[in-house]
Amino acid sequence: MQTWFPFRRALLAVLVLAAILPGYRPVDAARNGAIAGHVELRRPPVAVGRRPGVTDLGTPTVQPMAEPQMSVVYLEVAPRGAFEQTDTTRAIMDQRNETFVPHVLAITTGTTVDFPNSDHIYHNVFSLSKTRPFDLGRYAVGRSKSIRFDRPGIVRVFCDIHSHMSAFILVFSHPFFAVTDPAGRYRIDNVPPGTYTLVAWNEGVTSESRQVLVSDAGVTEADFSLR
Amino acid sequence: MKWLSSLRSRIFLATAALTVLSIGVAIYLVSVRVTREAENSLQREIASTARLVDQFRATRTQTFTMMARLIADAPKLKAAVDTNDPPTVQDTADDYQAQLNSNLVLITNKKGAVLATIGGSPRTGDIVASQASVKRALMGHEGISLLPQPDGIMQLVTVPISVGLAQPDILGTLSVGFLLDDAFAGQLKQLTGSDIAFGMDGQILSTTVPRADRELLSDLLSDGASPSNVRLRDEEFAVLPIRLGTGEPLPEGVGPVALILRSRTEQLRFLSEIHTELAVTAVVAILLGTLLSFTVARTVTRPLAAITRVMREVATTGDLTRKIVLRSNARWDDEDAKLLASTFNTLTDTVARAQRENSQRERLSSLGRLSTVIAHEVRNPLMIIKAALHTLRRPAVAPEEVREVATDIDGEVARLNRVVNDVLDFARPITFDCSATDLNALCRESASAAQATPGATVTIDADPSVGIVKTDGERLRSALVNVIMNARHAVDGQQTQRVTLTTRRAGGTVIITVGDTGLGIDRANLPQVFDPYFTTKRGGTGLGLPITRNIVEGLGGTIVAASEPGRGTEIRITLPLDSTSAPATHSEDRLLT
Repeated sequence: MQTWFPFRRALLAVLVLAAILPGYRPVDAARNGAIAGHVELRRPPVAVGRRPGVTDLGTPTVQPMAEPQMSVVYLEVAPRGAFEQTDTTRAIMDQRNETFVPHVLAITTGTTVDFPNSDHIYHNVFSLSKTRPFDLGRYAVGRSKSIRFDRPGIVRVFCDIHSHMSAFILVFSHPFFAVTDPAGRYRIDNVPPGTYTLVAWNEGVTSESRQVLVSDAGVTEADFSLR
Repeated sequence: MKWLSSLRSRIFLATAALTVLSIGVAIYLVSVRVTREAENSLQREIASTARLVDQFRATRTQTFTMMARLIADAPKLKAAVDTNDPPTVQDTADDYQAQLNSNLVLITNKKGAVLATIGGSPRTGDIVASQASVKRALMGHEGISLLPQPDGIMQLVTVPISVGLAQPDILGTLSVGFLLDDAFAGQLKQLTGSDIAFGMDGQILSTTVPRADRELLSDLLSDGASPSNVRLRDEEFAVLPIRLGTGEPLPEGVGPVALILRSRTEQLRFLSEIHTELAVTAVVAILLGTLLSFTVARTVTRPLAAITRVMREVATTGDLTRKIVLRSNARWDDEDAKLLASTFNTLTDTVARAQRENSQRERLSSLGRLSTVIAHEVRNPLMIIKAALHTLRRPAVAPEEVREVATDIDGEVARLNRVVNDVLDFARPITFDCSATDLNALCRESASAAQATPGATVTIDADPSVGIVKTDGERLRSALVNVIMNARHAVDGQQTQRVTLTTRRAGGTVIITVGDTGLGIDRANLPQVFDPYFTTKRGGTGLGLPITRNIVEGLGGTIVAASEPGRGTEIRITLPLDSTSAPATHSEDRLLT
């Protein structure tokens, strides 16, 4: 079965195993530690031949913005009680200049994501992912559609009008994850002391999982290098 | 080479050789040129077919590349591939395949594993996925690959399926393939008229030629790109192998190859027709050329032949009235020959006129001399006869006196008769009657006949080897008598009176020499001794030696005189052993013509 990528399997494991892990105490912010570090991307850039895009049909040229690639670092196995959060939150994935912004969105389950169309053309948002297949249809500028993600997993969204548009939505069942800043740094706060398995993800590629020891009120450093 | 010495033969030979040579060279050059052109045109057709095949394949590749790009760019496909779920991808792929009408559609994920396959043999998917072009596509590059299939060469276009502009993410690959199969080859054949075969790794996979010939063609696949020939079903084909490029270097001899076959038979038929026509033209031209050469040679030599014929006739007959008559309508005859002919005619006219005038003069002078001689010879006897008659008229002539006068008259009449006979002898044509004669005996008879009158005795020195000679004995004897009598007259009154007659055999001739010890002949007179009417003797007619010469020459012999004044004269007669073949001369020519 090649259909499941390893990182997805790992993610699922997070969701399942976390619920049954023993020794979890209610979160005590004063004693909790943090994990911080740097994710380095060593993936060589891939050049793909230019395709005729919508811009070639008379609309102004869109300069593709060389966005710094965001990575996500998360705990593979979450401490007990991490799933007890039930407050419904909202997140936004905007559509501007034929681009989903942000390119990578990490949310917890139960989050409703809004997809406002802030561009000057019609857009569509759809996904064929097993986690949450959906199709919001095409809608005009200024309108917004939303969808709620109840299952953890990775949802890649596309626009069926603009073939170059895509974005990732990573749905976690716990809050112990962080998206890197443009420089590649991350920080996961409020982690109860203990030993955890930490994983870095970037564009469908996951790093080797690594063990980190989080002590009381301390910051544990963990750097990743992704190919 | 006597034949070559004739002008006509030489002109004919030179012209004919020139004709044959020029026609031969021309025909040869044309033939060589035509053959080369035919071969060139065949090669050109093959080359143009090769270009067309390349172009056709390139166009099709381009079309499929465009289609593959468009499909690979479809968001639906990208989303489907991103799921990494084969059924999802297969559904999407089926939709596109229906529109593409390609022979193969294959989709892999970003790791190169097959997600969906449509068309091709069961193993095709795995084979395609292992191609370098798929690996290249995963690196973001489009590629072309050629795969052997049971029914042709599969030409695959592989493009990456990617998303994003600034930092594209490659989701997988899409390969679209079309078969270079029998149908494709057939299409090309309709376009170009050439037979095509596609093969790979030493095996013909699709072709327009019958299946049975595939074995023969597969041997040509590893020949590289050199043109060659092959014989199929009694037809000769020129073959040009062209390598089907994919942009990737391939080891020699194993790559995909298209063979362009063009039948030579049509070309050969055309060539053989041309060659036949050329050969016929050459033969006709050579025949015409030879005929023309012959005619030209004749126009030069025909008048010459006519001139020669007339000249020969004139020479043999002496008939100067004959003229060279050239055909009046022969305007192609040589001008020089005509000039020669007319000059010859003028020449013969002039010669004839001069001869006529000369003979007229000679006749007149001969007549004059003859008249003088005859008058002189006749008057003396006449005077004697007149005196005798005067005596007879006297009265009482004694009978003795009458007898004496009668004897005188008789003698003078005999003399007159002799003069007339001599003249007649010289003037009359001599006819010879040859028979076997004993020459020595004849000489003795002649000598005794000449000694009938008193005078010197003839000494005979006969060579027994002379023997029998075929000649006219009667005529020869009179000639000899004449010569011997001249010799006896010459010694008459001399101190030594010796006359000799010698016969000798010398090869095919007999020599008779009559010598005397007389006064001899003056040097000035010696050349004239054989001329008629030349005489130094009183009472001679001057016809003796001319008659003798006529006889000797009539018998095919010669007569010469040698003399030394005061010591003597020698007459030498040379005769052939057989005089029957000697041409008869006509003595009257000298006198009467």
